[in-house]
Amino acid sequence: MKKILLALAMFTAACFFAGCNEEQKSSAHPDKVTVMIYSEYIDPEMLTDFQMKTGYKLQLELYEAQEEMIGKLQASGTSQYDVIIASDVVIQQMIHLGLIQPIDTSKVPNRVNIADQFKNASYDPTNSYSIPYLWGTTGILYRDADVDPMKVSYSMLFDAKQTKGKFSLLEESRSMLSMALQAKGYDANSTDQKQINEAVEYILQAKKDPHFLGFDGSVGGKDKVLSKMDWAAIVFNGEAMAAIEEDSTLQFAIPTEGSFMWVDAMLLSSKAPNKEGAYAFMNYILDAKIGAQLAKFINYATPNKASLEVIDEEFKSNRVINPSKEEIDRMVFLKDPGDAARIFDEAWTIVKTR
Amino acid sequence: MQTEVFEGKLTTRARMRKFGVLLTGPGMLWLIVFLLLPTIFLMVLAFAQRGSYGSINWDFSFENLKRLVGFSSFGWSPDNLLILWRSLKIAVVTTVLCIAFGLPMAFWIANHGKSMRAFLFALIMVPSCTNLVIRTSAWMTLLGPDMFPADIARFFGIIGAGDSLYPGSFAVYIGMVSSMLPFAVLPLYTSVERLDWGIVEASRDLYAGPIRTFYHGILSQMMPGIIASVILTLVPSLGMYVISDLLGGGKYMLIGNLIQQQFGAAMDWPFGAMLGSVLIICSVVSLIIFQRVGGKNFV
Repeated sequence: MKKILLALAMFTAACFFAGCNEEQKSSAHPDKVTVMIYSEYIDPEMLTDFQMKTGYKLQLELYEAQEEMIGKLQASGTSQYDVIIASDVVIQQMIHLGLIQPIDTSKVPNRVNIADQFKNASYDPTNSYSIPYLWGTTGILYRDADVDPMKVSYSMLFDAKQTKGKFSLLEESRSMLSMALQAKGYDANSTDQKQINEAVEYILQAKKDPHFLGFDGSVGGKDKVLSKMDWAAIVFNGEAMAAIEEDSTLQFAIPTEGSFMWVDAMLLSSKAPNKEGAYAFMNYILDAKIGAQLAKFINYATPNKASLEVIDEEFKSNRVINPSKEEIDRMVFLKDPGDAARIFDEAWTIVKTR
Repeated sequence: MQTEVFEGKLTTRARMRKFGVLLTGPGMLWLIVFLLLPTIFLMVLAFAQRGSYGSINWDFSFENLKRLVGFSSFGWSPDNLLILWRSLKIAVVTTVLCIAFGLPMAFWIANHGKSMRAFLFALIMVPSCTNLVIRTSAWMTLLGPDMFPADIARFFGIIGAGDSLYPGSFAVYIGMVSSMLPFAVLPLYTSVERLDWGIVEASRDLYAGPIRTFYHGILSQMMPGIIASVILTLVPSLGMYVISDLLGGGKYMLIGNLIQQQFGAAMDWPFGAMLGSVLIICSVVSLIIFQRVGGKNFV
């Protein structure tokens, strides 16, 4: 028995020291930049190009879901990554959890290229933690030539008299509730209980409509509209673009009551082993030509105003990817609700139970 | 020290005990590290609170329990209990359907020759080797508006033109039963194989009708198998939510969704732990009741 315990103890110790060694190894290679990023979210050509231009080897660590990324950072520590690419809604949370640190903006000279709408935005009011990577919008994808995308209102889905076919709502608690808040004329970031309650009632009303097919993720909603199971669904513009490329009779609209936009930003890991490399990567992405190449490859909008000047006219004039000034003006960024998170969660539970 | 004979060898009680500890040690260690400790952690976490940004605050209270029974920011509403009830309903219906379909299947398989039986088993088991999400997506395609099952249903006027057979509870039960059936059939089959047909013969000799023969001669012998398959289907279907999301359109939440939401989007691990603990307790209690009521003489 004692021998087994001893063996076990030695085994654990060995694992522990092996772990230490590995960590030492990774920090002993300052010629490498490790970027934590969604899968399929960068042009593979950039890996070699980045190494040629800066001398740093680019290593990607992929993730699929926001919670998975935060869990990984909390569990395995932030010292394994230099740059983290994450959505605007989790930035405040990551700051409070100590997962990211302020960026020395003087080391990223290309940040002058960032478009104005991403400066002093609610997710990072001081511009000190984030540098935008790509951005997008959320709206309604529908199959109806008679409806002008400039005049689409939420009542198209929420008012049973106006729904002309089956529709799906978005299976994402915060996003869907925020849209219902806007449909009711309130601020998307409202944490007022009464207003949220009204939003809940509004969604429940839509749920009673016999046309209501269910809640779906952005991809699921897109698939249902494409396969004609749905007449309309709420999707992100990336999915809308993919759907319209397959079937040009589909249309995408930012509702007149407003909607929310989202941005994926580059953040500096709080224990980044290679800070200089991280800044080099951020600066590289903010380069006019690279930003244009990235946007075209992923088919998302670029937050880089210099890139817009070098990008081709066809891409630039695509209203699904690059919304007009008016459309941008009625969209907001979602803020982390902090303690109000529980209200949103309970509201969503009600939406999904009744 | 008292020497005893064990398996033809002369040994002492203390030495035997030592040997026993050595044999059960690794298994016990496994249970402690991977079952007991996490469960204790989960139950302690259930009484902690969520910090403002999804961290864990270790000040203990019954807040999560109160929230579970319905005291929310919107006043009292029984939503969580409704979710539990709905999950239980789906799990029970799935289990009953699985046993109902599984029993004839088990007899049918047992009536074949040895090689044929192996082949039939493979037919049942192979689908469960594929990923659950893929299998469910296959049902989504199959129940879609352009496929033949929808055409047949349309011919009989069950659904309207252009409609599909999902999302809906019909599709959910198809998905649930098809994924749980293998687990129900296996223990049923084992007990069919072990049936003492002499009892059936005796019951016929005593002029019992087919129903009484089935009840007294077959069902009572198969009780252990039935209880095992009920446990194997009921417990996993309680926590299942992928199928109801994909085939039910995600209109309604199940307990699995609610827990997943706490560990995911809501970042409220303590409340998720409370829900998880309650689910564990519910499963264990129902198992105990089952053993007491159904299987007094069998399990």
